Amino acid sequence: MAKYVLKRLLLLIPVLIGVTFFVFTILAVAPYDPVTVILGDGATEEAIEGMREELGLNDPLLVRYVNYIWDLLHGDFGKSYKTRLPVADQILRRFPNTILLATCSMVIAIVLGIPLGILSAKKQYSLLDNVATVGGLVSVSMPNFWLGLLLVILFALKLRWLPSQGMGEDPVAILKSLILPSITLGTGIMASIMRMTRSSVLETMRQDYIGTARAKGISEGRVTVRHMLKNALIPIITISALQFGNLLGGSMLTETVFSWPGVGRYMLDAIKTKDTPAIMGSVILMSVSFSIMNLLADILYAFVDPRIKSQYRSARRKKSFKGEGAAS
Amino acid sequence: MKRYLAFLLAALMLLSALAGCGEKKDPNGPSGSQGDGQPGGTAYKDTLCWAQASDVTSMDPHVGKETAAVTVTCNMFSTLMIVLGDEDPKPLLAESYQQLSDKDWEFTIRKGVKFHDGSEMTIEDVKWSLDRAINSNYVSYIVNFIDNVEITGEDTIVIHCKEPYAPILNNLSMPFSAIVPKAYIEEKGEEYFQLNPIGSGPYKLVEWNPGESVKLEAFEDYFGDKAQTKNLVMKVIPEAAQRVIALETGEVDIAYNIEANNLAQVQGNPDLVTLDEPSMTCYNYFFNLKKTDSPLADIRVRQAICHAVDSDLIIDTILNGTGIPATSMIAPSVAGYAESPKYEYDLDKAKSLMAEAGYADGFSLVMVVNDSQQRVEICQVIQQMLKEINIDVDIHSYEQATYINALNEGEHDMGFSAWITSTGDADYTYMPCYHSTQWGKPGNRSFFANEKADELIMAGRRESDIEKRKEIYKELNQVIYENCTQLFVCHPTNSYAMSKQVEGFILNNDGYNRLNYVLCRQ
Repeated sequence: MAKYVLKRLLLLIPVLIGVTFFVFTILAVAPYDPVTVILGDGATEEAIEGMREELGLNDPLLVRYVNYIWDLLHGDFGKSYKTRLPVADQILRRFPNTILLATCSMVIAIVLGIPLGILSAKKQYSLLDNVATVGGLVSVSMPNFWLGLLLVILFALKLRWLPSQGMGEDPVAILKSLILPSITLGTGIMASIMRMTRSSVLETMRQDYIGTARAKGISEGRVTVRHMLKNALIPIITISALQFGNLLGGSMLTETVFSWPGVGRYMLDAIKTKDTPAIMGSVILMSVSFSIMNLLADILYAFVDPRIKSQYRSARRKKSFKGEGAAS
Repeated sequence: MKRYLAFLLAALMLLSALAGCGEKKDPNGPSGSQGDGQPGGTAYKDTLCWAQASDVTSMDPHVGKETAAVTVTCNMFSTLMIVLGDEDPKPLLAESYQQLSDKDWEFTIRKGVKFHDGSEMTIEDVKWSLDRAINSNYVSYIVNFIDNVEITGEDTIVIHCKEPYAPILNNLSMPFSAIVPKAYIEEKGEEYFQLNPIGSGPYKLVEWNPGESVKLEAFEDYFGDKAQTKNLVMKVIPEAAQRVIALETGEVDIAYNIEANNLAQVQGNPDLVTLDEPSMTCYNYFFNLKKTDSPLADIRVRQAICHAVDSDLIIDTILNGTGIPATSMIAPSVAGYAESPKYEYDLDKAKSLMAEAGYADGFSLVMVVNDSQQRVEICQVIQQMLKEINIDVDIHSYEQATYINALNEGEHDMGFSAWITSTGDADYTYMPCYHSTQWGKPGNRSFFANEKADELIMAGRRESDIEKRKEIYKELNQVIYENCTQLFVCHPTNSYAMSKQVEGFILNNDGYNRLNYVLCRQ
């Protein structure tokens, strides 16, 4: 297992090289000059040339990429073209806020999505199932920024229960300011998880072993949780991990609507101002988050499905048998 | 199934209706901070909160030149001169000034001015700061008229200009020419200064949470008019609608960058007030005069276009009335503004001019614009208007840098421009936009070359008597009008919204509002 994890972590290296090279090249060949964006309309020719030199933009693309990777290997993500502040500091400063928002959104999505999915499956074609199906469809189709604004108008402007934007300073204020963006983000994901749970549970409940469990006189609750849900969990874990990985990369729209100081907003601002180092830093964070969440999903499979765990074990055993054979 | 769908839609409509239904505003708002009582019985907040769309790009006044940065830093740093509201430049860090010759100006510096770390500002700081600004890639264009700065006494400097330069006082009141502490920066380093800046302004920096907020506190030893409110907080709220909501809920007291479509919401709230001032920006279209084989090379065609466009209609519809029609690049609030003749909206005249030029059946042209939704919409309206005189407009919308490049290279027949006279002096616009040496990148995107215009531009730059300058610029406007270099649309309005409890807010046309006079009743 440890070897598998290590192998997967090592695989991150080519992934990151590929992603960084791809994004770096696209940004470099895009038909814009970052210096024009930074200095604006009134800049003199000397200022533009001076800035190009300062940013190393006169070097060939490959040289710039190699320099960038070399700096990256030394922990230097570069400085933002726009603010001249170190990108790594700015991302690390915002990342905990994004983790907080992503975690709360996932908790809402999982806590509501899985039970609703199970209930929908167990009461297929009932009123509850139909309402949940249509509700899920609406939630997935609803644009985040629209739902967010609607919630703000109702809960912040009209009812004055919650703050409309920003992130509070003390724990209670932070908690209050988390509610609306978490619901906004969590709603769409909840619908996906619910639909996935429903279809997965439906498939599992038709298996023979469920009938056997019931025939043995096991209580319905135990059949549902131990036999049905556990076997239906694999696709749910996959979708949850992918969604969480996505959220960790930052949710641009929601973070912008709620003025949440997270990585998503940082990336959006960077894209708007063609701030290459800031875009690269955000993309790297996004790729690493996504890959690690994928890996965690793979590891979790082993815990919920003994067959997968045994595959890891048998691979190890086979290797040790081979080793013994060679020794004898 | 249909029933359930109807049920769900009804629930959604209920949520929307609840969100839309009115409720009386809570006068105490969630952010009602504790204030210190003021004499006279009125209690004021000790913290004033304002919202703006973007964060500070840099706290260094010689780097952060974007309006979003300067709205904060102009409260922390001081300049030799200052412009407040519609006033003329007046001394701030300078105690007095005098013009020694055409090119030389002497400034006597105020004594006893302290930086936020308690150290006293010296004449060395002033020279060093101006030199630093001249060498800055970001802001040099504001001070590059200076040849050198010479210290001539314990508290006097002489600024030697490269050539006679009348707008010097306006340029020295720009926050980009702020005086910074030499010893502090040399000791702590540039990077440290960027995050921990100190100036000699009415407020000092307490905390900067990039992307989130900036907190400032009144500087007790400020040499000028003391800050009325103890603490200032700037919150970054990128969404325009959210800025208005935050104002309505009382989370902020002032909201900058109010968009035209949110104005009605503010105006409908009896607890809020809006402040509008025509900005120093001009929306206009450069006709490309470099393309000699284009129908636009015929002045009658250009005049026909100007007569065919109804600017009032554009202002009333797309800008929701937030703007005034433009007759030249210079807004009325800019120093050196002079009247200019105007091509009135007259479709019949436009049609007859087209026929006279031999283009009664029309032709097609390329209009270049950036990807701003509002600007593209303006282009679309003009596209429809020009159809009336059989001109088929092909709109090319690019992202900002590509768009600027297209204009510089002369790809356009008509190129949209939103030029800002940043210094508040007409020379800042006339020189780059009309002088024959300034084609392309510097600003002359009509590729206009006219000896008379060149002479007048240089004369305006050299003339320090404002009335005489206005006469020169009036003549220059006539030359521009006669050559019909551009289609002038409007000067859009800068809109701010604030709580009615706010007092003493002075709106600057450049958007760099000094907040040391502002109070907010509890």
